[in-house]
This record gives sequence, C-alpha cells and structure tokens, in this order.
Amino acid sequence: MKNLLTLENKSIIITGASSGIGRQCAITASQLGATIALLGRNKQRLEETLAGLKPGNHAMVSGDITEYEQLEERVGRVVKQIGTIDGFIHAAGIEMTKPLRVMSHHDYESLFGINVISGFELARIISHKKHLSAAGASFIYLSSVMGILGQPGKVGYCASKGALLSSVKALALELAQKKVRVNCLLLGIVETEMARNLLEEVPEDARQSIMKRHLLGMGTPADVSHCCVFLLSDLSRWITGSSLVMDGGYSAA
Amino acid sequence: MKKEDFFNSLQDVLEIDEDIEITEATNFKNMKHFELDSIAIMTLVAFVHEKFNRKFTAVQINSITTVRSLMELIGLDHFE
Repeated sequence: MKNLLTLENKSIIITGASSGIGRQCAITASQLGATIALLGRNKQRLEETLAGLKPGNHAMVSGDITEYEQLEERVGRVVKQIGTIDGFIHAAGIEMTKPLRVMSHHDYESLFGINVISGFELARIISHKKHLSAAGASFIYLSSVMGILGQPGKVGYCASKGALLSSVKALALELAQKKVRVNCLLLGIVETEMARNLLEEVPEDARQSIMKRHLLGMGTPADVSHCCVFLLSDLSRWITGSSLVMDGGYSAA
Repeated sequence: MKKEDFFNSLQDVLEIDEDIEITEATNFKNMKHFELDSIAIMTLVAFVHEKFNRKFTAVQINSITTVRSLMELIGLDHFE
C-alpha cells in the first residue's frame, strides 16, 4: 500500500534548526525522505542536527537570519545544492519575559526581527520562481498560543507571535497563485531548552498554574514535527491560511 | 555601580513611592503601597539581567527579602 505520508523528492528549508523544535522537524522530515536545508546561528549545533538526519544531500547554512541582506545569497546557495524548494518551516524564534516597564524599542526590534521579519523575508525570497518548486510549496510558521492569549510580562513576545498569526491569511491569499500554501501552528509550551529556561524564571505559583493548564502535559518537539510533516506533505494539500492550535488544551480553559 | 544609583534605579523601575527612602535594610515584603507580586519579580529579574548580566531563577528571587539580600544575590563586589 502506498505510504500516504511521505516527503520523498521534497526539498525543505528550516530555520532555527540548531536545536529544539527546528532540529526535530528537520530530523522527522528527513526520515520521511525530504532533503533538508538547515539554517541557524550556531554552526556546531547545526552540524549536530545534520548528523541526526537520515543521510541525504542535505545542506547547512549558519548565520544570523536577521542579516537580511545575506538571505538572498544563502537561499540561492541552498537551491543550488538541494534544488527548488517545496517547503519552509520558520522555527527560529526568541522568547522574552519582560514587563512593559523595562521593555525598550531594542527589545521589540529583536523580537520582531527574528520571530517575524526574517520569516517574511525568507518567504519573499523562497517564493520567487527561481527558488520555488514548480509544484508549489508549503510554508509553516511556528507561532504560539501567546499570539491569541495574553500574559503579564509578554507584550513584545505576544505581539510578535500575533503578527505571525495575522499574516498567514494574507500570505496564503497572495501566494496561492504560485501554489504556495501558508499555515501557522500556535504552540503551547514545548519541552525545549528555551522552555526550561523560561520556566525557571517564573515564580513557582505561576509555573504551577501554567503546568496545570496544559491538560495533556507539555508538548514535545516530536509532537510539533509530526504536525509539520503533515502540513508539508500532499496530505494537507487543501489546507492553507489556517492556524492550528497545538497546546495540550492550554487555551481551551 | 554606586549604591545610591542602584537604590534610585530600583525605586524608579519598581515604581516605589518617592517618600520611601531606599536603603540596604529596606524590606521588599513590607513596603507601603508596594507588593512584590509576579510583575515586580519579573521586573526585578529583567532589571538585574540588564544592569549586571545576572540571571536568576524563581527560587532565588523568592529568597529576596531586603535590598541587601538582593545585592548579595547580585554580588556585593558589583557595588561601590
């Protein structure tokens, strides 16, 4: 019986691939046959991700994705190696817990630079016909339930994740003619280094409250990667402009 | 950092009433019109990280009582 969930002959670019969710998405996608281009800041950690992929003609580009002038050249290099692009996961992102009182415009710029603008710039570049697969592509943005909920100390983070959520419909409409689907995942807390650091910083009562509201417990990077590979695959060919909540029930309360 | 500047910055960032004089002995947990709630704690964490490049866990923050105890957590060698 034909395996319906496959990424054979697909080339996928993944940001934030040095660790956590981005890393796991790369691993899972490679296991389903995709050729992966890993983008991230930390070269050594990217190499660790590369070593964990199912062997293939994978690419790796280390660098800061907020160096916007460099992105065109990097994507060009990737396409030369792995071919035109069938999928893009924007998993790169930073978290910031800082009350309004101590936020600065630099903080907002950092958050939006990594979480939002770099993702849009890469969408612009990848969706150019010289880089895009003739069969179209699937773009996935990793947002957060904080894009639809509020939390004290998260004005910048919530705004950046909300920006991803609200942009997906516009991107989907604009890129449909190129057969590019665009969707967004709104994630709850996923067991990653970033999440562990975050939970260490919050007071105990807040941490207990957060954990209690994750009715199915914290998510894992594999949970997210499974949904991503579905959205990258032809099984989701009729899904675009959507935002899917994956939070173990956190936002259901 | 000069202690006086530290006290003034604390007073400003935590929005402590100006008629309260901040000293090392000032206790965060029994100040007039001030509560060391979760926002205040987050503010302190961010402030200390920005000024001293020190990151605290929630457990460490909960151990703070007086301004002196905060200074000890940061490291007294950071203050003149």
